Amino acid sequence: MVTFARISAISVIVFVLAMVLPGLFAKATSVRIQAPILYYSPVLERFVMQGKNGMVDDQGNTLTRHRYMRSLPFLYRANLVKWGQFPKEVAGVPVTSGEALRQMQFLRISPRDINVPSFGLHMLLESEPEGATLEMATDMFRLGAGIEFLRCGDNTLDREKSERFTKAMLKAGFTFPARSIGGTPDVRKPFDWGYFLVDATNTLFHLRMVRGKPLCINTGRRFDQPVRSILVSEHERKEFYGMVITESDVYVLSCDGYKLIRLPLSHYDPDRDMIMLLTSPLNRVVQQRTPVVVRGTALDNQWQPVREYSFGVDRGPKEQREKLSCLLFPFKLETVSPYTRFKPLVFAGFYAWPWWTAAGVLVCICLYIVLYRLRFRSTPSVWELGLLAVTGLYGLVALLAVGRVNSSACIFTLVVRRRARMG
Amino acid sequence: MESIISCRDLRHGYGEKVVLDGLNFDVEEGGIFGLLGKNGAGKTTTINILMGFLRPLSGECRVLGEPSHGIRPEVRRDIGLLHEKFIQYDFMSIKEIERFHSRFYPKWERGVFFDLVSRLEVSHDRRIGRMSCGQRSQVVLGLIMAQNPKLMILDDYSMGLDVGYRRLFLDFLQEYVRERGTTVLLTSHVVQDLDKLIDRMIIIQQGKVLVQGRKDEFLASFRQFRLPSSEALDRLGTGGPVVALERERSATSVFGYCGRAEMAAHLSGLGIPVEDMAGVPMEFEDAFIGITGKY
Amino acid sequence: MFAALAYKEWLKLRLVFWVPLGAVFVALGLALVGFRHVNEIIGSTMLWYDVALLDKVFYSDLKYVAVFAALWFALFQFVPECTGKRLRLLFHLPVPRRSAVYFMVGVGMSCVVAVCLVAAIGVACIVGAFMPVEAVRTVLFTCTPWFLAGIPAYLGTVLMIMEPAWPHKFLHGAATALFVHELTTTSMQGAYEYSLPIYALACLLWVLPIELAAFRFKRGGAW
Repeated sequence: MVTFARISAISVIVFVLAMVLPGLFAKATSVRIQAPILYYSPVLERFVMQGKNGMVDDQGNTLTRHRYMRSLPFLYRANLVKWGQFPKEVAGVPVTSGEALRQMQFLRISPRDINVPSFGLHMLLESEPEGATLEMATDMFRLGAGIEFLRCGDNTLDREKSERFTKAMLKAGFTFPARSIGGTPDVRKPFDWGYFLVDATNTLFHLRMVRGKPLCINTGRRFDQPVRSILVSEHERKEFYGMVITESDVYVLSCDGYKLIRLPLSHYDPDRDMIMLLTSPLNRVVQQRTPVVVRGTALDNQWQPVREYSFGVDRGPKEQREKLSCLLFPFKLETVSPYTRFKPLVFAGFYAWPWWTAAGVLVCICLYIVLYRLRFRSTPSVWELGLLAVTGLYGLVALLAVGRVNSSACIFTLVVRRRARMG
Repeated sequence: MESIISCRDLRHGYGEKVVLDGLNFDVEEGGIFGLLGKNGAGKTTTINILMGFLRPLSGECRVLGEPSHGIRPEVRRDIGLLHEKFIQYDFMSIKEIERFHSRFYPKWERGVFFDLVSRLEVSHDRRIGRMSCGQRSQVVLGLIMAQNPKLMILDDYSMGLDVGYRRLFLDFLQEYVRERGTTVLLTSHVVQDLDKLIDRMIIIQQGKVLVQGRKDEFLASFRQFRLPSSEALDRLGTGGPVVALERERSATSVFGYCGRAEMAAHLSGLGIPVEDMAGVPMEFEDAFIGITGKY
Repeated sequence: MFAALAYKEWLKLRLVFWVPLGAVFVALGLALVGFRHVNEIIGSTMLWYDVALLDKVFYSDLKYVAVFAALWFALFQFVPECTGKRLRLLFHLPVPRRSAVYFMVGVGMSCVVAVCLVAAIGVACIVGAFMPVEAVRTVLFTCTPWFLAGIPAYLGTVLMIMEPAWPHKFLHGAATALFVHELTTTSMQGAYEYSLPIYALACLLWVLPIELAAFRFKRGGAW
């Protein structure tokens, strides 16, 4: 029992150190890696970016600040207008600054937007309000075997409305329960597109409330993979409703007959990759940003690729730090993650530099043997060395701290002596 | 006679410091046994080992036939411990502490406890933490007596007690032990009290036994002789019948387990004039200091 | 015999048990005031909107009640038991050492659980009065890691008090504080949805080291 207690005490210290030390080390030695954002220049017909080497195009040519801005007339519209340099036409197409402003739309989906807790209550706004602006609903809905509207005022179920909407959804072919839902219940948006829902058969439906009545449209689009998230973005361009994210793809949901336009991505991982979509009067640019590579694809107005460019994220500045991490810590327990809003507690090994990890563990084992021999004039047990081989620095601290069971002394008594009253 | 406590070759130390260096002794059933020694002699370490709160580095200590560090709960019922400074649960009142302890001991004698405690003239609702050291000593003694144990181990029972409470404590203890034949092992830093109290004793110094046996036999055989200082006497060391020496400015005291004639013969043989050698009568405290030294 | 040990715990906790409970009622009162105020001033829709969609937490005062209760009970149970080597009294009682210690720990943990239960029922009632069951569920889910933090906080405090050596007290204290921090660090509603069982299991790691501290005390000497 006491042996188990000792193992448990060691585990507590190993567990907490593995939770805390790597994070502290990462903060203490943090290095900023800023991979530049890619923009597609319709003027130069190539990608441009602003990185640590200044402003460059995708062929490595350096651009002056003015040339860089002129190459992105829609992005730097305001500056160019102020300087009187906004072009009358770009790539042979006549443009105005007003049109440029209207046609700029930016969507971004990151793992933290996908991995986010859901409250289970949603607010369906009136899509065609009486007034000029959208208004808050007085109820919220939940999804289960049907759709249920709950009045916020008295926290009661609005049976009549719930039945009406459930019937409308069933009539449209919706199969409960819903698997995914996306919408933007924000009254500051210009108009309301309601919610997009994926039903039990993985089919996409569009639900709105028009003058108090349900409007449920079966888009006829069915996914062969689970839908991870639906992003709805009400924008004056009204070209697309938003994006649907599955396990391996991102689709733009076109306003033209709910067509699904698959974005050109490579090995998309919704739990790691960030996707950006920037539209302008002439192009759409899709950017896939993974921890190791940034990949940009410029598309024309028909969503056909016109140019691709990618570059590796320079992790050089982090290399020394990662080697040191491997030397110090054989693994870590992640309790914070840039990829999720959930609180994680996951095991992650430092395996990028295995020789460094092995060296770190070996140093810990040798150090323990030396200290043990100095204190107890004997050799530590095999299981202690085994523990050190797995837990490295954490195990070393834990073994030193917890001490031995069958002895009246611990290694720490080399430096710390108990004030023992002697008779 | 059966040994209630038996310690064999006890060794213990803290770091480099050796506290017990092969201690051997037995405590037989019945009577009061004193474990004596000066500060730092190893008394507390021995008591801690006996009470099961310290494991010796080597050797064995058995109490009521069980290893002292692993005495079974049933056997612990027969051992009454008085901890140094009369520690008890300060948050309990007299009534509560009696009620609490009574549940653990089948031979509990409520009357014994309240008989002793009632003489304190304090309310039975008084918390232990609000009592004086003397009052607490009576409560603690009452608890141990009510437990009706076979063996009592009293660690420095005199600490913090004035002479009145000390006398009260000892009177009760002696009466109780005489009536019931309980075995008591005690330590105290007030040696003069022990003269009338203990039957047998062990005196330890630097972790080793100096004296072991009946107190009256020790007192009868251990003698002090006083001689005027001389050059030859200054060269005298322990050995032969000379067990201990105490040098003063004008005289030197020589201690040994022998009569005047034997000591005189030994000293004369070493060229020490013994014409003025005089026997000095000793109380127990004098004998204790004589054998252990003042320093 | 356990009745006597229970009596001892009762004597220690009978007066002070109500303080953490009072703290819970204060925290619940503040949560109720928060909900009522938002409901009254900006309306029930905005209350729902704030809680369900904007992730506002009107009950964050409950965050540390379990940790407070754990510290409180551990201190009042084990400081009178361990100061001045009083643990010797417990270990000399004719009760197995392990049973005696874990019985006391069990009593303390039960008190912490009782306080958390009152807090959970209270917050469920408050939220349930204003919002539907989804809100109650999410709020309870959000509070659970805060309440769970009471377990390591209690066991870690007991460990610190009981452990005879100061460096060890410090290490266990630090390890406990860091883990408790992890359980109370985020206020995002439902953030622990997937990791809660792992965190709960990790809390159990703190149970056994108490036996080691007790053993060390009993064995004496340097650690």
